[in-house]
Amino acid sequence: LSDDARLIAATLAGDTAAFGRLVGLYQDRLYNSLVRLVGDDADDIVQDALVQAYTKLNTFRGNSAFYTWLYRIAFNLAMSHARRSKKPVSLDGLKAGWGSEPTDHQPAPDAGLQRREDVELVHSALERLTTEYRTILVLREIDGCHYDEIADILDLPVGTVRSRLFRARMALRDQLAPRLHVEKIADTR
Amino acid sequence: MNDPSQHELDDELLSAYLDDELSAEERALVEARLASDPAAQQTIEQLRHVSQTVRSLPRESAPADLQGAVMRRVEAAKAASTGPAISIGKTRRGWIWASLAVAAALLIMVVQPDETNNREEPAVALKQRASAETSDRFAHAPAEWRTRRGVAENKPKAAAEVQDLAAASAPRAPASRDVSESLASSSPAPVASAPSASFGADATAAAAAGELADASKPETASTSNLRRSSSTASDFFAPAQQPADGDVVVVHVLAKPVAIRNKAFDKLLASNGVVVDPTDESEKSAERIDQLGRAGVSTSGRIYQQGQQIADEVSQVEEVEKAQRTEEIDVVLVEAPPTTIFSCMQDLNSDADNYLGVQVDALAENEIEAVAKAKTPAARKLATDLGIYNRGAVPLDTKTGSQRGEEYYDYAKNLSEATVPKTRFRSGGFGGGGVGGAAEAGRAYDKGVARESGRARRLAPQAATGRRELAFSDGKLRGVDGAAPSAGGAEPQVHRMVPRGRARELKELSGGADAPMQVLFVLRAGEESPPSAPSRDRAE
Repeated sequence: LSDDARLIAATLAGDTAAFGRLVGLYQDRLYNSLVRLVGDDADDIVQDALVQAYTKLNTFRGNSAFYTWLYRIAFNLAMSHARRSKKPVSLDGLKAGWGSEPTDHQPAPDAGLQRREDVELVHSALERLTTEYRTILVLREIDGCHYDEIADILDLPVGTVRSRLFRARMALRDQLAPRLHVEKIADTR
Repeated sequence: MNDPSQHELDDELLSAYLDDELSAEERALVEARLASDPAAQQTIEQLRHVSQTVRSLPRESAPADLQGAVMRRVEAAKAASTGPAISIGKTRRGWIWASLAVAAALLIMVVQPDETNNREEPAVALKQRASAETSDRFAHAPAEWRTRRGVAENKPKAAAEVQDLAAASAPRAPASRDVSESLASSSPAPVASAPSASFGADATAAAAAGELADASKPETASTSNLRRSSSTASDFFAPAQQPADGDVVVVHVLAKPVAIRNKAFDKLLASNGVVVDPTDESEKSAERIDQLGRAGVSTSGRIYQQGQQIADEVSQVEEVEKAQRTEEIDVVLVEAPPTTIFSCMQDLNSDADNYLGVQVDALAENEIEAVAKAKTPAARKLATDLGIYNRGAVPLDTKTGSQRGEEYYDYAKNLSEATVPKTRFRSGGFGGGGVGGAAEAGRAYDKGVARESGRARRLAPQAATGRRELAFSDGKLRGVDGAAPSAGGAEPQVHRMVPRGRARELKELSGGADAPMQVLFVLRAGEESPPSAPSRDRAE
């Protein structure tokens, strides 16, 4: 039995502390992804997802990893949430105090977004994507999920994951192009 | 380049190549292409850059208190959880209560003078209706309603009496708050503002008016009888939050046929914690009908009559449902707090993949005002507020409606009469089975451990319109003969925690109101692709 399985069994047996350990194991990872997806509502959504995972734990069949299952709950919540945050999805909380969009910044190096402005730029670019694109980018780039895991979490065929991820990247490229000077390597096809 | 889709497919391989998600064969293809194609090299560089950019976002840790907050909620959920909630229709007792509530609602509708009746009906519609009078199982109801309105107009006193009664009973029976409130809130306005033009238009109504003027008093007596029983029903049904018993807000949705077939709307509801009650259990509906009828007998003959009517229709619907599965239309009555309704609307609004257009109360221009007036203030406000989610065009004509030229049934009008049962949904939905009663349910909801945020019932359009399909024509949603039933289906229950942040945000949108409201979602199948939403992921 894996640690997860043991903790799940203990939780189902009534040991909520065991569930607390599961929360401890996964909350940061989940939060880090969701904060890119829904901004400052990540706190609420992670909480909701974890509580929901607890109440639905008896339906977890162990066909996938617990984490994938938890992710599915969280991303479903996040997607409904994103849809209902009117348009576009607000990541305002994260941007608060960052000032208006800089237009005169220097090109950022590819590796590492050290500057707050750059982080903001990437954020606002992500923010302008559709929820579907943003979701798949987060799962792949932030979370490092494999295609089959993404397919599992989002309940999509792997082929769709592949094509959507490609289009999401292209969409993000278009958003980033004027900002991070991607135009240096602009599409010249 | 000649074939854009092939081109995209090739580039897609580049993206997957970066992720090392290709088969050996595909990888070989990509590598060969990269070796010889500068454009491919450039694209893969761009893709890599984008990928790295996102990856280099700083990692965020969960807030310090997150785990604590989760565990507090987990403990609360553990304390509150008592197994699966009972649902209407699962127990015989449930049906009895349901019947009582429906009977109560019907009576409310009977005693409530209704503004929608005062709308000037197009002469054509009237004529069509008149010709259909004998076959129209609903013919009685509108006639009755018109006369009843006559009573209200001619004898404002009668209405005042009802009101007094309602006021008097309110303090005694707080549980029947819905009944008294609805009477109190909806009685005065229509009486005051009733235009007399349409009244004269209906000779039957005019003739019957005097006759019924006297009948109104005994009726208020039966109201009080019913109120006694309905207060018992209310105890069971809705302890903490009761919908204002106003009109139902109608939301018209133009949906892709596939969305209707796949029950996408049920999923949308489920994701918002709205549980769709099963409606496809014919035995149970038969039982419900039976109960409904009996409840009617025990309260008033008139109710009984209406109960029978509904009974007839429901069985007819079942017939039709078996026969047809075209699913061109889906009618779902949702009862939920405004926050939930707002969030459903947001989902509808933003899901361009499934829904092509959303219109709240999409009635003809000249109808909107009249219909709006007939609503309780809460329903009116809700309808207005939900308008922000209107999107796209919901065509106001349809081939079925106008081409067949069959008699129309003024759906919008009858909606406020007897077509939509003023369903009392089970209250347990707001408190995990109603374990601790009203207060506990309310607290549980606030704490975010509620398991459901609302309930929905699929109505077969025929139940509302008597074997008639709903159809748009002349800017009105009407029923038209020839049924296209919606298959009743139960979505598995989805438990949803109410997130505090979202609840807050939605609460602001919805003006902070918490009392459940009823919204009728009418989804019609349509094919037009929306002009907007260019960035959607359509090719999938």
